[in-house]
Formats: sequence, C-alpha cells, structure tokens
Amino acid sequence: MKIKLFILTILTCSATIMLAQQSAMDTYFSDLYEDDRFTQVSVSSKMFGLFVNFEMDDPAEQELVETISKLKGLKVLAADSINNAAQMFRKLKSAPMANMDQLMSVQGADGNFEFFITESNGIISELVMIGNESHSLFILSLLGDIDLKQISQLSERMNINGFEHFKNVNK
Amino acid sequence: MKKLILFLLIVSPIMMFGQSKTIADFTKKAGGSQYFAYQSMLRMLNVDQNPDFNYLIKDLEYLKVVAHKESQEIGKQSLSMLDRELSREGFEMIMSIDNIDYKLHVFESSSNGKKTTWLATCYAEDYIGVIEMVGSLNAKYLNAISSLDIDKIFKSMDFGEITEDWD
Repeated sequence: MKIKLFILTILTCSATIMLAQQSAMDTYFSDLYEDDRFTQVSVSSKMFGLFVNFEMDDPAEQELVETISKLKGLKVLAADSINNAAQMFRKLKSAPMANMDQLMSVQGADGNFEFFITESNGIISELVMIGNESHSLFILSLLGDIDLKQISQLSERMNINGFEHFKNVNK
Repeated sequence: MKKLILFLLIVSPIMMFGQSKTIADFTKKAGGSQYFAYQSMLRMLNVDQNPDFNYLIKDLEYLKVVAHKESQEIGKQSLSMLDRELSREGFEMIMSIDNIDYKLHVFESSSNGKKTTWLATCYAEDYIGVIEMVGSLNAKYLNAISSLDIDKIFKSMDFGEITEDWD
C-alpha cells in the first residue's frame, strides 16, 4: 500500500513538474498551432545556451549575450492576414491563464499589447505578450529566469514589435 | 595488430568528420543540386574580402547544401521523415520556423566528442533542402556573414539568382 502511495505521489509530482515546464503557449494557445494562417517559431533552451560561450568586445553586447544565454525558450505565433484580428485579440487576452499575472496593457497607434508574467520573488519565469495591429496578431512566450531589469535591457536591443514598451518598466 | 591500427586510421577521420548518416542518405537519394565547400573555398566566396569573414569561418570545417525539387505534399512529408531520422540519430532540434509556405528546422549535435554538426532542413517554394555545417562560426564576427557570396552558391546549384538578402 505504501509503495502504491509512493508511486502515485511520484506520478503526481512529475506531472506537476512537466506542466510547470510547459509554456503558456502550449497550455493556453495550442489550438492556434493548427491554424495555418499563423507562422510558428520555436527556439529551445539549448539554442540560447550556446550563447554562454560567446565573448564580445563591446560590454553592452556582452551583457546582451549573457541575458540571452539565461533564456530557456522562445515561442512565437504570428499572422498578418487575419480578418477578425481585433476580435481574436480580445478573446485571447481575456483567456483565463492560471499562475499568470497581467503586467502591462498598452493601447497605442502602433497597436494593442497585453503583457502577462509568471513571477516569483521578483524573478520572471515566463513572459507572454499578445499583440494586435490591424490584421496582424501575434503571441510571444519567453521562458527563463529573467528579472525586470534584464527584460528592460532586452527590450532596448531586441527588435521585436511591442517590446519597446518595456523600456519604462523599471522606472 | 597492424590490421587494427589500419582500421582505426581509416575510421577515425570519418568519425571526426561528424557527417550525419541521414544526410548522407538524403544526398544519395536526392540526386538534385549539391554544393560542398571547405573553409578554403568559403574564403573565396568572401565577396568583399572582409577580414572578419575569415575570422567568422576560422573553425568551420565544411558547409554542404543539398536541394532538390519536390511537390509541396511530398516535400513536407520528406521533411518530417528527415527530422525524425535526425532525432533518432541524436540530433536535437534547437530552432524551428513553420509556415504554410515554408519550413526551416535547425538541429545541432555535439555528442561523443565529435565536432559540432549543425543541420538545417528546409522546405520552400517546391524545394526540399538540407544545409550541413561541421565546425562552428565565431559569433563575434557574425555580421560578416553578409560578405558570403550566397548568390554564387545558388548559381552553382542551378537555382539561378536569389532575390532576397540574408538580412
């Protein structure tokens, strides 16, 4: 009986750990993987890990490389010819996402952006950005141990539409 | 003993070469266009004689591009098969871009003390292709990749000129 309980505990724990390692993209937006209007981009932790050995001359570039090397994964779903993009955006941003807190909401001339994070003790383990502009719709999920300062630094250097809104996040 | 040493001498360069069996099979079956370049050849493709380009490819052993024409349906199926075989061979997919019109999957393997092998399988515009790169690029000089005369590579593969820039 004790063995059965032990096995059950292990199975429950491992399922929880596996769920925790899944990105919000897989958990909440996986339906969109089947939608062929979307381009899917996925970058693994190993890819980011390769940056660990990079040595740059410019300290600012070196800092960026170190920040990138701490990332654990990136997933992007992007489409630019969605007729009801605004409607889909409203639906996606209001989708219930357990363990995620809304960080920021931006409505501007260059589009609408919603940012969500999974955070513990000031460390962000996942950042989700949902964006919409005209017929474009995109979802970005960034995994890793990133603090707000690093996100801010990344936002200044990564040329991702919507990330520029992070430059004021630490002020 | 002599036979063993001879065997090791023959086999060890092949093992160091790090070439994927899946890609070797694909190359045999493909029968399409191929481009194979060692470092010395790549240096000749340094279109503007950029010294950084030579630093970039200093640790690169070779670059191989294989491609052949394939209908979209069969091409995408072949790509899935290639990806499965590469995973079985121990390659790890580290990046993927999937779209209704094109697919690009990047794999890496640095196991068993072999040189790092990078592979990209791709499907676009009725072509299925594989890029194999053994060795590594020096990231510090990554901007110098724009000096590579990619058009010359594609011309030599009978693809004609390409219209898109690398960046």
